[in-house]
Amino acid sequence: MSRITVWGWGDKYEAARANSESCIEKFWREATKECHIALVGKDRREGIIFGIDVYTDDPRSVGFLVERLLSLALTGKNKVYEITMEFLMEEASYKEHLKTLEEIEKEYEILTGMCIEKVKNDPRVKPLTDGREILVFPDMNLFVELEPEYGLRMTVGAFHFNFNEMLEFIRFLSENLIKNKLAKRILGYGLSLDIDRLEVSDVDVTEDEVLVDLVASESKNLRSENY
Amino acid sequence: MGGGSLIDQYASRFREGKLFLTEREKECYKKAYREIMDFGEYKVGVTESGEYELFRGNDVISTFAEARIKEDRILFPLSHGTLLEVYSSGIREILTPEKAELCGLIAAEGSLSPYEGESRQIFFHSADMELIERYIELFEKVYNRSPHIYCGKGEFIAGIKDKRAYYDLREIGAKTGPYRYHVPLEHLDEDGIKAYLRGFFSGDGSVARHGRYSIKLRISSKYGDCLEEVREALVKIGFQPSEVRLDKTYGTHYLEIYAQDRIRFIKEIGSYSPAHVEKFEEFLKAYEEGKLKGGRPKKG
Repeated sequence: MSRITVWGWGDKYEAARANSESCIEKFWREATKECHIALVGKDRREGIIFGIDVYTDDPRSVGFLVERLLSLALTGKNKVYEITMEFLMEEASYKEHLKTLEEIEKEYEILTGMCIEKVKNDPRVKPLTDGREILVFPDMNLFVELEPEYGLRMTVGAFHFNFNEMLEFIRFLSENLIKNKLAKRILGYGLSLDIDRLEVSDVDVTEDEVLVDLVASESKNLRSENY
Repeated sequence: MGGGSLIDQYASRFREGKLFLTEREKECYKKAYREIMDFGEYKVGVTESGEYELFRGNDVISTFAEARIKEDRILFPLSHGTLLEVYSSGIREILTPEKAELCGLIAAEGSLSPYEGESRQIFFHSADMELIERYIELFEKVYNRSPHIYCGKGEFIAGIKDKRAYYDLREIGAKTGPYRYHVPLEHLDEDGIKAYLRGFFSGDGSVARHGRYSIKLRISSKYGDCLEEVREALVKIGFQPSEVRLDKTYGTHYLEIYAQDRIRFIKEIGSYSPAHVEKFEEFLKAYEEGKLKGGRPKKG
């Protein structure tokens, strides 16, 4: 079954819970194993695109979860694009190999080192170095997995080019989820950054830095299902 | 009072027959109007009393009490933030910069609600009161009505029930559905495009820190086809933005203003978002101090 949008826009916040509960009534079957609730939004401050994903096998918790997630995401100058629901006939919850905060920071450091190696001889970068430090800004996904109070699995993810801003943002959202008793604790972190697919998008120079933007080559001219 | 254009009246009054009219047309024009502006198919005559007559051939299309005369065109104010533009290729209705900016704001953070149904309401959402105030100022200028403000969750909302404004904005395509919009390029001149982009960027643009002194400008949208229209608008006024890119994880789209266009974007388009303005000021200061390549060297 495709995703169903239960909230999209406006000030009728209560519609999110009502719509999600109607969906449960209509589409939750005996064979349904899990419901995947996905919220997508944007941090208006830095332009970080973020998502909160919750998987639950308890249909009674869905309405409450949707309502609380929306409320939490809207605070802090965020824009919520949509909340969707998807009914899964097979168990989708699984444990990824999660890393600690220190490990993920180390991993990012190694990956940026590899990115610098990749771009330092690029004809658009090399002539500009002249003793300047090369800094890379690759588009990437960073996520944190939380132990949920309700449901089976909860993740907060972000898409952006600034690792530190993303980390600060998803940690802030995670702490709010814990404070609001939707999650118990942070289980670990994950980072998705495919260096092989990255290519130079733009180069910026300051008095002591060369700033190289990197984007995934396949992100160009691609159309999502919403396009 | 005679009918027709001043040239017709003059010709009739002084018995200028049709055979002679063509030959003496220029002379008649000179005598009938203080000034004649020629836009090819269309001409505009300025009467002695300072009114403007727009005519095609010898047929008066309309008269106007005021006009804004530009280098190669003339603009006549119409109602609700619309102008009639007369230029060498013809005539068209364009939006005033105020209305264009209002449309940009609505495209980014507004809604026409419901898209089908009974009540005709226009909403604008923002977490910044400064943007809400700017929206209300523009709405008042264009429609002479004042939206009321109320608090939503984590944001302010300016809302108004106004059928006339609702249908006007809907016809322009300011908002065509949740997160969907149309950039009315067919009704925007260069000033209008810049104003529209200012409104849109204030709502859906982002200014992210980039290195120690620099910033990165991005515009994001849920729908790529809508964002393509924003890109087209940027290209039309000489910017070279990135292509529209897809973030596959969350299905949203974005484009970037490259470093080469950043200063021009800040100076000619800018933003009313206080967070943007703050970062622009810091960035321009670094630029003036020569901390960015291409920036002005330090004085003295």
